[in-house]
Amino acid sequence: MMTNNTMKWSLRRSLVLAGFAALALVLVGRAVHLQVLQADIMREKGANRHLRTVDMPAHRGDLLDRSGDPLAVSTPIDSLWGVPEELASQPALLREVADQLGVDSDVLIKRANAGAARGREFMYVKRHVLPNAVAHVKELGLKGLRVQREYRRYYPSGSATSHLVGFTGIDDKGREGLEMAYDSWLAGEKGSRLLVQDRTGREITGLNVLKPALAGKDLHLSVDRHLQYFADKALREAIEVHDAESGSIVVMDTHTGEVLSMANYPAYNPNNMSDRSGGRQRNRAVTDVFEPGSTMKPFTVAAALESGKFTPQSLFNTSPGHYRIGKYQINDFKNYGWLNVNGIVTKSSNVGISKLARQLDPEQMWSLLDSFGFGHPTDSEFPGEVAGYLNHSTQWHRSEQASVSFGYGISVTALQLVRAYAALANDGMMPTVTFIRSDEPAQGRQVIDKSIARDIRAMLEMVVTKGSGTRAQVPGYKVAGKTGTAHRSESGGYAEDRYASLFAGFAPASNPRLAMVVVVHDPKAGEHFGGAVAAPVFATVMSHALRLMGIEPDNLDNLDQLDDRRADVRSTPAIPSQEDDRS
Amino acid sequence: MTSTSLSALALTALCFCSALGVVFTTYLTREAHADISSNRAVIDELDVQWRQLQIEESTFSQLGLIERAAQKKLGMVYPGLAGSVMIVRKP
Repeated sequence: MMTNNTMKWSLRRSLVLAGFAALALVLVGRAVHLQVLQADIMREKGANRHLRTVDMPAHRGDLLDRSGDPLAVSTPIDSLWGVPEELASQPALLREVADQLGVDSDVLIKRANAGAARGREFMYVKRHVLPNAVAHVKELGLKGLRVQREYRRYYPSGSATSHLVGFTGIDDKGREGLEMAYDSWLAGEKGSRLLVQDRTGREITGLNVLKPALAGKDLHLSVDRHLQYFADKALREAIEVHDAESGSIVVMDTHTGEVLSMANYPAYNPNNMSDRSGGRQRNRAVTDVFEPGSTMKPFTVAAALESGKFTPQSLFNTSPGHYRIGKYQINDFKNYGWLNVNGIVTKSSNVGISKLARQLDPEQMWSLLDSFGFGHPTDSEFPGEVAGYLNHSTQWHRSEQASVSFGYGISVTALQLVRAYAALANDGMMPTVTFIRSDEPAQGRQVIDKSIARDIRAMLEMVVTKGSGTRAQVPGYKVAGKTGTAHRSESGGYAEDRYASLFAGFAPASNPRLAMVVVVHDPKAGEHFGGAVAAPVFATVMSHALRLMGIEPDNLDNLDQLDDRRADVRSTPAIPSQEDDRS
Repeated sequence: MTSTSLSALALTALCFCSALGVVFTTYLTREAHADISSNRAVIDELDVQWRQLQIEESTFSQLGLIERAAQKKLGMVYPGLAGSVMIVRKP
């Protein structure tokens, strides 16, 4: 009996214990299943609930002018976005938000519904909203409305620096101009960090920075914003007065090759995206070529002096004022008779320069023009820069050597021309073009002998004191330069009544510091000679440039003879020029 | 009480204290973190302001604006050569 009883209890005990053991095993099994086999999935699910990777925005570097004033600044701006389904479920609130933001509410609701139907996870409600407007909108309490920090670019100098600086797209990437050329330098790099959020999206604790945000670097440009303003204004006024089509001005430091100003017309307002149509965006000073006309003559003379066959005093008979090569006739403005090389440049005689050029070795003449950089891009790295056009001498046809000598059959950009003049000004040392402020000049390249450069400089000074360029005179300074008037080439030939008016030169002539090119295309108001259209613009802008750069006057004697022309191009008293330039 | 049980008791107490310490430092961390977040927001806001002021400053200091104001509002003119005196430093 006793044994029986004991046996019964012990069996029951074993059964109960076995039951517990089985239960415990099930629990252990489940635990292993969850924590070992499904650990990854579970960890991910947990993290999904409260772990967030958040972008840390980084702003784009500023573009500054040479004295540190901002030309392009990024300012934070917010973009509003949400999950379409969540937004579509609150149509009344969404409508209110749309009204507050100035968005068409019907369109927004339609977009939200369409997005929800397709199961989209993301839609912009509005991009680029000012931060304080965002605060107002958030008070409306639309659930699921989220804010993304972005940056918008502002260009305080507006249209004056539009072509040079360029602009960025809505994604903050450089699309034109220096914004594009130096995009990788300016661009910031977004960072990200991991954090724990509660259910409403408040940050509880940050875990770690996955990638630090790298702000873009600022860039000091070589351009002077005040000079840019004066150049832009003078160009605009000249174009208005002469009813011209377009134009460019480039000012360069002859020692460092820094571009101090580059203005074009027509321009656009970079702060207004709808103002960027067609040709307005083009930085004509580097993207457009033109035939340089008589402004090419100093380089032909350089080739002549370099050949050793001629001196500035070598004589040529330009009578009777025209000269025929094959079926091609070259004309002077009038019959100048016997001229020496100095006279050919000051009077701008096409006949004289053609006769001179025909006695030069084509190969030597070509290689000199080539070394002055004609026919090659300037390596300025400006987006869209073109090479210009210069045929190799072996491909010159019968009259081409003569036509190139006075600037036809060759095409250049304003930037190429200003650099070539900078080389003449800088004792034959051609500077490396740069848009970045540089404290030490980059290594230039000696393109002609110092003494030749000085001879030509003296000739160019005469052009301004008593030749075709008298209206380029600047009170207090000696100026050297050359006028040019080129017929515009059109399909199949040259237009009789359409011109490009040019002036290229530098100052102060006794120790040149600044070189400058002015080109005005298609003036239709009567005057079209470079000496009448472009030279006064040169004088105005150069006088500002010399003052702004603090360059000492080298010619106080001409102060009494000249009226001040600094005030306004339009109020410029016409200084009678002895010879107008025709080429 | 034996020395073994005494030390067990002491260790238990220390263990408890350290647990409280963990809780407390976590609290401090979160507080510090909230501080960082709000400071970050302030930095952000100041950055927005700084950049807007920069833009404002350079917009209002545009030569064109100053020139127009000087000519139209104040009736100023460029002095011209007759009205200027040039001082030259003789070497």
